[in-house]
Amino acid sequence: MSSLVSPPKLFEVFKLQQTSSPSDTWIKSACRMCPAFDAIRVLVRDGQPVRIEGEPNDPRSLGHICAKGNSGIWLHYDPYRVKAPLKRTGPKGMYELGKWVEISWDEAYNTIASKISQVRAKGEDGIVMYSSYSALPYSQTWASFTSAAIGTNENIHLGMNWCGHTAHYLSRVAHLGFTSVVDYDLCNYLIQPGRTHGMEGGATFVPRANKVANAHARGMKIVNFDPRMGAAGAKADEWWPVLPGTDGAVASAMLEVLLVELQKYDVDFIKKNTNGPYLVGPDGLYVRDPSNKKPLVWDSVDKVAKTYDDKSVKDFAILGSFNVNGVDCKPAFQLLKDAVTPMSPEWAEGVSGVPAQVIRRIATEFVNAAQIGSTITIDGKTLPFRPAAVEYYGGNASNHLHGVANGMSWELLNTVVGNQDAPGGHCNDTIWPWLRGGPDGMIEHPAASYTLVKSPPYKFVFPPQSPELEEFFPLGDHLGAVAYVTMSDPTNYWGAGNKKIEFMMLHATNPVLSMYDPPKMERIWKDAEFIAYFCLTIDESAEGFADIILPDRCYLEEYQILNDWLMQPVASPPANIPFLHDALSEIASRAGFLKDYNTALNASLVDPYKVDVNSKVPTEDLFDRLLKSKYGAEKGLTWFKANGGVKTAQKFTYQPWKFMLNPPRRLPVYVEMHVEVAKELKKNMDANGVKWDFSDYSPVPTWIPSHLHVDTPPYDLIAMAYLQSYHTYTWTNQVPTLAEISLEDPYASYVMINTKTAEARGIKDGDLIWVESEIGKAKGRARLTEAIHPRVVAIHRSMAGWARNSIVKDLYRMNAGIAYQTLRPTKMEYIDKLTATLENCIKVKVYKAEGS
Amino acid sequence: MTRYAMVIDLTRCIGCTACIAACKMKNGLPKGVQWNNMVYDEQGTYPNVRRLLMPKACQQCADPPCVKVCPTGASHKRADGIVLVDYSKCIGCKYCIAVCPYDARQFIPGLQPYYQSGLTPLELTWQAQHQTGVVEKCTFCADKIDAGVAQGLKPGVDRDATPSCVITCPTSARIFGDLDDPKSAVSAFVNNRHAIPILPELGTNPSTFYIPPSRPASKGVF
Amino acid sequence: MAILPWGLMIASYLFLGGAAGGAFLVGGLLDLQGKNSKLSKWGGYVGALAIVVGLGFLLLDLGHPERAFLAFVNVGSSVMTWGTWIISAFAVVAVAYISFYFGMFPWSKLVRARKALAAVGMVLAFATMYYTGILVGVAESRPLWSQAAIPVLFTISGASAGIAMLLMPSALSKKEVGDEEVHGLERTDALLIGAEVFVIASIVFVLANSTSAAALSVQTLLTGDLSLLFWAGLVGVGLALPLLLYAGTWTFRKHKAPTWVAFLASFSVLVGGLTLRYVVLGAGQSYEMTQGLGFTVAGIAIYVPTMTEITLAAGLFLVFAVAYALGARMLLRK
Repeated sequence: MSSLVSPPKLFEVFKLQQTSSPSDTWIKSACRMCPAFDAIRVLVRDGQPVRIEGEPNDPRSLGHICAKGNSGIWLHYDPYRVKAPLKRTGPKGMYELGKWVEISWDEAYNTIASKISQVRAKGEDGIVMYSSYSALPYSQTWASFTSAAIGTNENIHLGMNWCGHTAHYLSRVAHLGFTSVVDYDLCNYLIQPGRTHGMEGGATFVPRANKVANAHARGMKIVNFDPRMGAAGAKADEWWPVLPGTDGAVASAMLEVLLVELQKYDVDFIKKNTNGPYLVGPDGLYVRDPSNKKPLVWDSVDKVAKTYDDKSVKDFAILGSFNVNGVDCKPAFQLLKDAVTPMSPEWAEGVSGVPAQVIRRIATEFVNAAQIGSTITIDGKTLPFRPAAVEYYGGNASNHLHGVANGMSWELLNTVVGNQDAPGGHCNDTIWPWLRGGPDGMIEHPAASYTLVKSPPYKFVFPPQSPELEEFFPLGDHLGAVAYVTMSDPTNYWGAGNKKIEFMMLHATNPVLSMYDPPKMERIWKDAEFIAYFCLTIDESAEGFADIILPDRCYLEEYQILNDWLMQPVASPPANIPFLHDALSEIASRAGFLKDYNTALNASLVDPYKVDVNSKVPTEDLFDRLLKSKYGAEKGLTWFKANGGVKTAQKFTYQPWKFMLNPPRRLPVYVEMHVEVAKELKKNMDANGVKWDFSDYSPVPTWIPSHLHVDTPPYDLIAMAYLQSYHTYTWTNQVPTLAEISLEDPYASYVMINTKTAEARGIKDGDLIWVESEIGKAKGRARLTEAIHPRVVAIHRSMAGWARNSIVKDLYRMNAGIAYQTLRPTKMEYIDKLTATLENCIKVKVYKAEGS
Repeated sequence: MTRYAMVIDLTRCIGCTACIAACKMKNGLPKGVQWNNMVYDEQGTYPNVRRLLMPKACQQCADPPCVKVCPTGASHKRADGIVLVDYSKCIGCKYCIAVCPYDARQFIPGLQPYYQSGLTPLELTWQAQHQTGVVEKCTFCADKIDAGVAQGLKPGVDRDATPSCVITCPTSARIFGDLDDPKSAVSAFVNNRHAIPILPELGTNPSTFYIPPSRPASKGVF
Repeated sequence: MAILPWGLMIASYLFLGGAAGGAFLVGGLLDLQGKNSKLSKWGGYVGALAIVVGLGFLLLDLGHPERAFLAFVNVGSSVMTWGTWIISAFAVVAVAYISFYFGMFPWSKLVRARKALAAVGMVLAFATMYYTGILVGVAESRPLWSQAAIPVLFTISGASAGIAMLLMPSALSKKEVGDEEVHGLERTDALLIGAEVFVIASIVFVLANSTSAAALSVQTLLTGDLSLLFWAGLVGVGLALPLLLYAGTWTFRKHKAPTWVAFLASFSVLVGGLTLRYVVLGAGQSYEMTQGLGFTVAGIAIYVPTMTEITLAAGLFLVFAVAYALGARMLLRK
């Protein structure tokens, strides 16, 4: 048993041939190093994987594979792989290094099953199911288990940290979907603020990299706004540094140039496909027809108000002010214009640092490149052609306090040139067919909120019952940060956080390293009743908090279906490790909800492939059924194992909101929903004496400075995090090749700091420095560079792990990099009141460490 | 005649290091050994900054100084232009490293395991592909090329006859082929798109060509 | 990444090779002039010893010393192959030459044969010294190396070091060799050192104003990571100190200089010789001509010999010192 905490011996079971062997075979599978899930083929020699290449038949990756994908076979050979269930014997704590004894699978299953069935039986909240976004997005097995386990109980949603909260929200509101991307194949002008697709960043990298490179080679101009010049800034045609959190001001100023200075925008689109013509009264709400409640518009020819869908409308007024039924009103578009009028490029320069003339010029180039009015014929359909777009998904442009209020201009720049879901423009990546509009076609609450596990969403109750304060965030996006605030302060917030995690189960995710605010996290996790963790190696989350660790199969040993492609095992795991589904089945069975689990699985299956809900379904059988359910009797597991999959090239459904919906929807240029929801919320909050800030519910772009933009002595610099394309999440730091590549990157394992900023603090290149925020400090080495804004320091994400059994310890001479989360405060003041986004950047101060 | 050549299009390359990783994994390069390197450079003063991201491996020169100075003839150039080291003849004198203008070669003093626990089975397989005490460098995946050509495949066109770094590149920034074939893609790049070698004034006549980045730095190779 | 291949071991090899050539050259010259057979014998011995120990450094630096014989192969183009032949021949000739001074060998009385061998050995000695410079001189990619001045410098330095090696025993006891030859050699050495200063200064000035890569190489020496070794080790100890001491001995000559002065002069010349090779190798390799490799090569400019290298070098120099001392006792007894 003690051998488990010392490095394991090499296993004898592997006897690899030393030269090319007649047994060499290529097996098709999928890469799970990031959510792109590119198809791969794996060279297997004597039952062991020795090389990975991209699968040439993948029409999205085109047979390419990134550094992470190439290096994936290391996971199979990691000597620190957990090989047997382990039980914790020592104390828990954030930086505690766990003590373990090996237990049998039987004991592990029984313990977990009994814990979870206790919690379920109590009918209380307190179950948290955490999974890696990369490992199991929309996975049938984990998702089914989650819904079965939680059942009708509440669960605590603690997740999601780095995603593009603002972008996701606006994608729902504007696009019917989860994410949006640009139609690179046809785009001629691309503006990318923040983490940038196809250039950096670890998620869905390869498919986008292909497209962006092709588009750039074809002549697409790329303009990058980022406080740091990463690869994207280096390769873009223009890089403009911007103060963190002020990108929105730049966007609003660009909007001002289009709407006020040039008065150039897609008038037709705004009139017919947006709520621009909707008349808005002094209360900020639509002026509606008294009889049928439909929003009214002003017919500028007939000079009378009509309902928006009145076929007799000759021309929609989008500017001006009118009086309808005694109510002074303006078209929504006029309100948008009024809002951006004061936000001139000169003003934006003062806020962001981007020169006014640059803002003006880029806005002009953008709208000219959009070719408003032009059309293109695709598949026999004539569509508007708008080859200019902004894409702002990204950890930093999109993860700010006041992100929607300040940043909706990015989305609106797309809307006003009419490129939404148009060829060449800003297109929906993941359509959610259930996102329908209201009677007037506009997306409305509650459909707009991101209901991960709760459906229908929370009704307002007081005092709030959920630790995420879902009652207070009716339009909220991932609310995990709120839960951290309330649960670490259980006597406050009306006791909403006075909930314990009764049962938490994790798979392939390491929140302790990647999430935020260690003191708060420790309070909550330490308090958790029971934590079970399927992990490949004992990482920081396991070290500190797991009660039971279960071995996991890496992706080269597992099944999964992703993007019409099959990921299949190419080798046996290094020990007796079951498929994840089999382990979940076993747990469900012993905990008495196997029927529920199988029933949930059956939701993804069709007759005659549905499973018998009373018996455990072996993994291979399950996947055969899943495949046949979706692809037909001929294409079961055998077919997929031989052929890989049926992946097709990405094809956009242009203007789904127009053609797929009935009635066809208009897009917002004015988010009336914000006013409506804020009004309702304010009524409820006032009735209960809750002081709340509603400025984030602005229906039009505005500028709300955050703590980043005012003096907060002694914290005078802003820290930001970023990600290179050879890393994603935390586990890529476990891969020796990737860790080595990181070390050779001049910036990745250092704190990037502007040369002058460093010199003013007596810091030389390579010096050990402290980076300190209001909640903690961390030590790292300074890299002096010109490629960063003087008021910003940049830290690569998810580094500086402290788990013992990892290549990080073996390879890095010191904890390379800084654990960003040690600095990131989680408090209500830093949480956006609309989307519940936690401000991604941190006010810090930087100074030389002793003994440099 | 055949002259294998590589073109690296720096207007496409984003420095993602896929090629670095692919080379390491395919050739079984142990800890500390790398045949393909990413060159990072930064010039200028904020905010007028230029960053160079440039992969660099052996340039497979047609007039290679390494071959000239090798005392045992271990470093040699094949008829198809690929410069290789015959490890059985290499005595590890490192003269070739000293004269290479591109710092493309590396001496292998010994095999270091990545993990403290020792060599993993993966590294053990790799161990058999290498000899310690000799000098190594990029081989243009000559083993792949030879195996592919023997099956009638075309290097640069068919993946199984093409270097791993080329087939992995996410932005299709690498082109490989026969420079002596006027119809090949590399010929098109060199002749029509002005792909250039680095340090041509040294007369090494490299078989690796670069398309300069869109926004080159003011001093240095690009 | 091991980008700096030639460090302490090769610097020691080049130094000993140069000194061996210098010692034999001077000894052989004295033989041909019919003067001082003791110094000729001593020159032969020192030459042979230094070249053998130097080859020891070389072999220990190789990855596969057991295959070293393969280095004779590439006569067509490899300077190192030429060097292998030259040095091997020189070693053989040097050992053969010493044998002429031992009565047990029948040919020891054949003076003309001995002188002919001296002449051959002198050619090989000169070639050895020159070769150490040509070796690095053909590296077009290293601006510090790739210039005509380097073989000249290494030859001069080798001659100077060779003389210093010849003089060290006499420094301990002036009576063991003739005063005239000693002073003549000291004067020659001082002139050689002066020439070295001249050549080094020229190199520094010309390169500092040449291409940026060349200038960077020179900056490594003048102000960079090797500046301490350059200024203190080479310029201070290796050049200025002996010059001052030699000047002193000429003054002192009338009053008999203390032995420590002469000894120190010789020893510091040797330190300077090793330092010269070390810094030239280091500076030549730290900045190569592909500008923009700054970050990937960051850190290699600070080459620090490994513990293994330091141990091996110390061991071999110790072997040399012991054999040198024993040889001095046996061969220079009255």
